[in-house]
Amino acid sequence: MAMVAVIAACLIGRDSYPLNNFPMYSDPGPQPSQFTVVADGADQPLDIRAITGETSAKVGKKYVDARNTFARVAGIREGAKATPEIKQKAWQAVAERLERLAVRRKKKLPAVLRLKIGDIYQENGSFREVITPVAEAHLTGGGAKPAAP
Amino acid sequence: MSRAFLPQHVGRVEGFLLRAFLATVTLWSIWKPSRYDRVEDASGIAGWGIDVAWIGQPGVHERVLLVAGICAVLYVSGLWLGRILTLLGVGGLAWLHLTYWTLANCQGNTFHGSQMTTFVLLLQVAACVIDIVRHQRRLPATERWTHLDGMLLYFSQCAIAAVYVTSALTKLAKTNGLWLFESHYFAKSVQKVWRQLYYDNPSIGDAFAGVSPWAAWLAAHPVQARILFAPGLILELFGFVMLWNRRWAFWFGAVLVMMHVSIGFIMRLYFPEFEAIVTIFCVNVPFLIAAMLGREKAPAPACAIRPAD
Repeated sequence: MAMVAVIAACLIGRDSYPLNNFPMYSDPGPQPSQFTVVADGADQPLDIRAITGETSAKVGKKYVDARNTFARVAGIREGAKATPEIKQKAWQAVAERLERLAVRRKKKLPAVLRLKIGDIYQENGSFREVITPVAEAHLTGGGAKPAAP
Repeated sequence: MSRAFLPQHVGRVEGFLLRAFLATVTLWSIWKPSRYDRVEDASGIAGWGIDVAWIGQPGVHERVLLVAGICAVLYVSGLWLGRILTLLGVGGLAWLHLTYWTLANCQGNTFHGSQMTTFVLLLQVAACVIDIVRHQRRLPATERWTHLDGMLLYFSQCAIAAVYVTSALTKLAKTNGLWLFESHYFAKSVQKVWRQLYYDNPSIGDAFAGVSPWAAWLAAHPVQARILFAPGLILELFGFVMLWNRRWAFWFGAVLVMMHVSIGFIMRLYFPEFEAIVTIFCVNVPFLIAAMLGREKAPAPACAIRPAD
């Protein structure tokens, strides 16, 4: 009974800590898998984990969450269909959060922070990767409070 | 052996070790100061307006650990000092763990490594409350509502089983039941993790440049990949069988730990808290230690094993 109650709560609550439907790797399918690259203004990938404590995967999730939130506010139901302006705004907000985390660790992020998303395709027993620039954020230093969506 | 899908008799040594190990895992889970000091995207109790950011403020962490340590002592000593102290101890640990990890999950991304511990703690709180209410109403112990430590173990196993069964149901729901047939595409997920590890720290990530050898092998051998991943889904889906009795809990627990170790080896994705909790409550190392010490007593009738407060 206790187990059934927790399962039901997890499936209904979906993502409301500690409730979670544990969707990790739940949809293998042929669609590309995505990874995140954070680079500086010269397109040099950054050691984002060493600087902020956040993994590139977490940065990617934060961006998608912010993009979906900004898109919803703009009346766009599917986050993936957000306009370049919305993506830019979402990345700026995430970059400012990352800057604050870096400041807490007494580290520094560059003034220009670029976000790129990589797609991995699995085709005929091998992989193909495509990395696409998404947005560019400008940081002022000191961990400014991000704009509310 | 008691009847299937019912709490087991838990002796004093096993009970003590179960409590001590859970308290240790909880302290370990919140040992490092939170990296976060504000809620960016409210989740769980933060979404209900309950403040969780306090636990990440400068100077608070040492006091949190002190309180958690006191709660741990209350929880473990509650084995001798009574169910109320047990409730206070496990309640405090549950509250601190929930607050700490809710804050971590309020940053716009979900972390999946600590829910199991929170569930175990919360269900142990529920077990304590039920036991206290039954005690106050002078209800006799039954096979289902047996002594407190038997219920603590059973409810913890329920929490663990729920996590795995939920994960399996989500896999089946998202793929219309075709997860096994599509699991050969898991190869690109392995490669994705490899890329993520590289781009975490590219200046030192040479070991993760190029293609993961495991991903390459899985992509080149789709049938073997499906055979490799099938047991994982089946194990998760039938995770509730661990509630049958100690023997099934042991085997399911052992294989689940092996599954996590394999995932760590292949994907570099580690779930140390899951492994620890499953080792404690399913493999049940405390029971094995008690048995080795010769302190594991034969199960007594439920009505005869209700300890006095």
